[in-house]
Amino acid sequence: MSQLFDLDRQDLFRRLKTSEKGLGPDQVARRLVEFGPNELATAARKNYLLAYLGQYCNFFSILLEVAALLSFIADHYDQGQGYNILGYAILGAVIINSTFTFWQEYRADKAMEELLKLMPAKVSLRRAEKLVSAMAHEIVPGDIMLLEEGDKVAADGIILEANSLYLNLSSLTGESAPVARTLLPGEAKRTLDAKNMVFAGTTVISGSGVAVASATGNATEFGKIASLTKNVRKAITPMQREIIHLTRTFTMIALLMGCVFFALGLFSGKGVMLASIFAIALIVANIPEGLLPTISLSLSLASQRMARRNALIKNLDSVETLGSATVICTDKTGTLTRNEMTLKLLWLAGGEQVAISGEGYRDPGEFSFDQPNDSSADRLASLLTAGLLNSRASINEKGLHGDPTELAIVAAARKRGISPPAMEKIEEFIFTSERKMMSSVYQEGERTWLFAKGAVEVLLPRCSSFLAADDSVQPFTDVAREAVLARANDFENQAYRVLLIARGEKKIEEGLTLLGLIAIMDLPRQGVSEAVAACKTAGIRTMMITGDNPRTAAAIANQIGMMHDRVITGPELEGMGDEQLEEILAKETVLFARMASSQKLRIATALQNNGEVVAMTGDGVNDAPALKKADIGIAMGLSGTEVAKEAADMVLLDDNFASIVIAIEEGRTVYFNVKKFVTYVLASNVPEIVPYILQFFLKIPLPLSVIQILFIDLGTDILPGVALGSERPEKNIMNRPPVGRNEKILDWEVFKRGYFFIGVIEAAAAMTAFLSFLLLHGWQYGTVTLADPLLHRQAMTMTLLGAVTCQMLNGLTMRSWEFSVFSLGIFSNRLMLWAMAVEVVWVWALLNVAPVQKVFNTAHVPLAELWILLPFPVLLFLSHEGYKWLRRRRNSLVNR
Amino acid sequence: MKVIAAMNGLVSSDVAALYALRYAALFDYTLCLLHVLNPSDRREEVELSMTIAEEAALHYRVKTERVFLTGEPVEAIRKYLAATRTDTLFCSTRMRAQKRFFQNSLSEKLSRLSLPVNLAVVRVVHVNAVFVTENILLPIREDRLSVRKFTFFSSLAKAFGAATEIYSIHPTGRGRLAAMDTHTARMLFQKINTSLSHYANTMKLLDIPLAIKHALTSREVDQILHHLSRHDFQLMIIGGRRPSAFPEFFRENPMERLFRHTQVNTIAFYAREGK
Repeated sequence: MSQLFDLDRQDLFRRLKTSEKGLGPDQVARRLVEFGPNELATAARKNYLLAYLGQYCNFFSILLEVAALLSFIADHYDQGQGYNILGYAILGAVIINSTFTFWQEYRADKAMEELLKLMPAKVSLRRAEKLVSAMAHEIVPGDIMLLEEGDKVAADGIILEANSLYLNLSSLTGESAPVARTLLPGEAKRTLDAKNMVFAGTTVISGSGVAVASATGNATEFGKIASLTKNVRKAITPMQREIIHLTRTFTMIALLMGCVFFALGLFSGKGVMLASIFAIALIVANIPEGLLPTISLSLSLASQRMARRNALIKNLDSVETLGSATVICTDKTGTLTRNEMTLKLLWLAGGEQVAISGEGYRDPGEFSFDQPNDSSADRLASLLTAGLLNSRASINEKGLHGDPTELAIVAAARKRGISPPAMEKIEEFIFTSERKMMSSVYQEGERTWLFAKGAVEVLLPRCSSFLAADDSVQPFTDVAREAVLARANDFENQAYRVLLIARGEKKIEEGLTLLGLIAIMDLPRQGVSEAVAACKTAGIRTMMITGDNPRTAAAIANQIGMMHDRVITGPELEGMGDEQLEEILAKETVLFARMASSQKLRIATALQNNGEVVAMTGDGVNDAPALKKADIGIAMGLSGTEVAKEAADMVLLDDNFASIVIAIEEGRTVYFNVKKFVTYVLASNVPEIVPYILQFFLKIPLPLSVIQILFIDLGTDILPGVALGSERPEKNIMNRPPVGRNEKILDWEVFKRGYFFIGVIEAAAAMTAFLSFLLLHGWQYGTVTLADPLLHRQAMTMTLLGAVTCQMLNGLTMRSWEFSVFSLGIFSNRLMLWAMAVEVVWVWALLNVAPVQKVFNTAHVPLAELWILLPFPVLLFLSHEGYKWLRRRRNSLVNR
Repeated sequence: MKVIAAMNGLVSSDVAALYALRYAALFDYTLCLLHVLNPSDRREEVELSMTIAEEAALHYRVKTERVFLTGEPVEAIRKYLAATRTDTLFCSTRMRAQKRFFQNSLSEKLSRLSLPVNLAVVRVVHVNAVFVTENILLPIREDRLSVRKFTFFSSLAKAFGAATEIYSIHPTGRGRLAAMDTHTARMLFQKINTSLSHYANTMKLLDIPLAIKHALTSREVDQILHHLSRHDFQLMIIGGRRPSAFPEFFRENPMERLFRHTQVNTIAFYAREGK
């Protein structure tokens, strides 16, 4: 049994139960119910209200909600102690956390909407022998579609009539050259290869035709791409994994500590109420409430910085994923190269070679002949004029218009000062991927000229003569043909794209006169070689995936220093199993040539299966699935389609490979900055926890209230945290390997520095300030309830200030994980200076502003007594700087 | 024994009848082309469809019979099934249109009943796919595959001479997915493969190519649709789920979403009640 496109007309109509007259209204109505409307399926509806409410049900939030509930219960039984304020404060923390997390998830994917734009709104159909204009979503299988130049095709169909019908299939194949459609399928086995089919989402470039709709909606080939784009499951980002890990770890610690102290409180006879208060306090103290908002804010700031460097981040989590990238799969044209074809070499049929200087379309240039004679300049002018007349491209003040290859010819003609002669264009035979040539027919008075350009293997057989060195037209000999082929081969070996230019004096593309060969190259972009070298140092593999032939691809790769172990072509990849591909990619760096865009998805999947973090570039509609699948999908801002941009995580505003490397540097910076502020936040947990533990076991008054803990976490810690998040890249950031998938932000080093080093100093500072202040004011050990409430509030203020002042210098020294803060420059992070200034204002307000004092349970402490606070921040700062110095010294010894 | 194809003159019911025909041909059953007469009928179209099915049946040397029933369709079919020895009833289905939201299709009504026969509800996406079926997909959750569903799946594969794939979906939350390492995943897949090994052996005996593939996902339906987009299947067989008394008005149930958005012809299989 045959495919639909293989059937003859009668069988086709019989199978689709239709006829040339078209379907009747009843049949259409019934088929609409049978097959559904011709629409691309949308993703499962997401209820954002439920999604937002869901944020209140994660570990962090539930724990804090229980703490708030317990506070309100405590307030009910023991009013006037401020437990209700505590409850509201905790709820406020939950709302802030949940809203920030939801906002990150709210960035809905709009790729589907962009795909829908490729579908037409209205179409012309033949129904019940009449021409009707119908909405595109009303097309059903069996409908007769009428296609005209400029129409967007609304459904897949089999062609019944074709009149020079050419389609742009780029949305399916990535190839933008017009593709001829015929009445016969050719040697197609798959629907996409059938030449007698039209496809939804494509455009009629020229000609007209009639087709019977064979598939609609999701069943179309375009629907498959839409479905791939919609249903690609994005791997969880390292940042999401880290957040899950951080949340779980902190929650478990908090829960464990809360439960232990609740039990201890009960068994030691403190009563349910006091035990509950202890439990709440320890839970609140252990949970870094400001952590998630700080991460979100830092990622936002990083994405703004990256936008200024031409890398627009769409998905915030991707910023940090960039730091983990181990492989960059990049396009060639426009990313590694300028996408400005430059005509560098010419070969005149008379035998001279001409080199042209100047790069791109607008640079001036010089022409240097190797063995010129009197007629060389004239023959060069003839060749360039032929190329200029047989081109649609133009370069003027308004900009560049046309195909890059033609622009290169126009640019070369401009360099030579050649302008088109006064002739009238009467016909054009367009370029198609099948013909591999194009020609234009001109009328000059009585004389007809045909100018042709195209692939050497196609056009050379059509030439019967050549323009010889003496400017005469000589018939071709076998030796002369061999010479042309040898020269073309020589140019191709140097990675040039070679075109043959010829002219004729008839309206047919035969019996032409060869004028010469032109060698064009898309030159590498500036800075790309350096960026590739930086990737190598940074332990990132770079792989080129291009539709170009292997020779050109390898030549460009060698020019920019992109080393590769082997070249795999598209057809080779087709015949390769997934496991084989994975095995090759595990060991070797591959250059992929002659690739179709659809094969990118396979490459991305294979690399990910090998545990690689993949950054993948793309610009076409059919790159969208691969961009979604890759850990970092990178779309081209200048040349990319809207669909690719929507599917990507990052958009390169200048299409430049070097910008990817800059973005990776920023990504790594974000990773280490998050590490820094997690350490910073962890350190402040210790002076929040220790006072409660000491108060539990020793006979001392309460050193710190729960509201004061929230003041640290959500008040004074957030801004320095954000400032740490916006710290610039460290010196050695691109000299280390990528951040591993198993490398955790919350590792032993972070715990060690946060909890057991800086945290301990801060706890010592807080408790020393509290106890010294009390002792200086006559307190004696054993007195748990102070007679003077003001004294108690002053002492608690000292505890709070002990922690806050230490955190100020902690923020300063934490600016670098490895290097001395003095080597960074004090003013290099102005946000940190602002943060410290704000903290000073907060300290002043805690000491002097009555409403602030009321809310946060603080009191004025005379300036003369604040000296107790001074030694510990200094100790903290110096000891951490010393610790970093020791690490640097050890590392340098190890490296030696 | 009979295989019944419920016909109504629509293109999709013609295609469903062709699936029924291939199934009947495998077991040498009689193909019963059944139609319930109703006022909005197009008798000529139904008869034309039956003629096409009969012509195709001649090619496969399958005996056919035409049956026209009267009365309320579901009840008439139920009575007919009770009176005959039938293996499977094939029935096409339509999209749930907004206008006819509360008007269930015959297939929906039948799928709610406990019938003495297997019910195969066919959703036709590609009219021609029944003629070129080379690859059949059976998505299952973990290792849950009933003998009856497997029998139906393998029978159709044999009838079409098609290669098959069992796609085992392991629903996993995002958190667990993040925590799972390659070794754990491989162990899990190995366990599922072991559970399904007797089915794999049966397919080997029947000389039907079978591949078992696995996926860990938090979104089952999307994963299956994605798999369909990436590979070249012409038919998918899924386990039918009898709708509960309280249909989910505000959310599509996964099976309905799969049925609605599928890119290949899909058969939802409802095994007969009892032994």
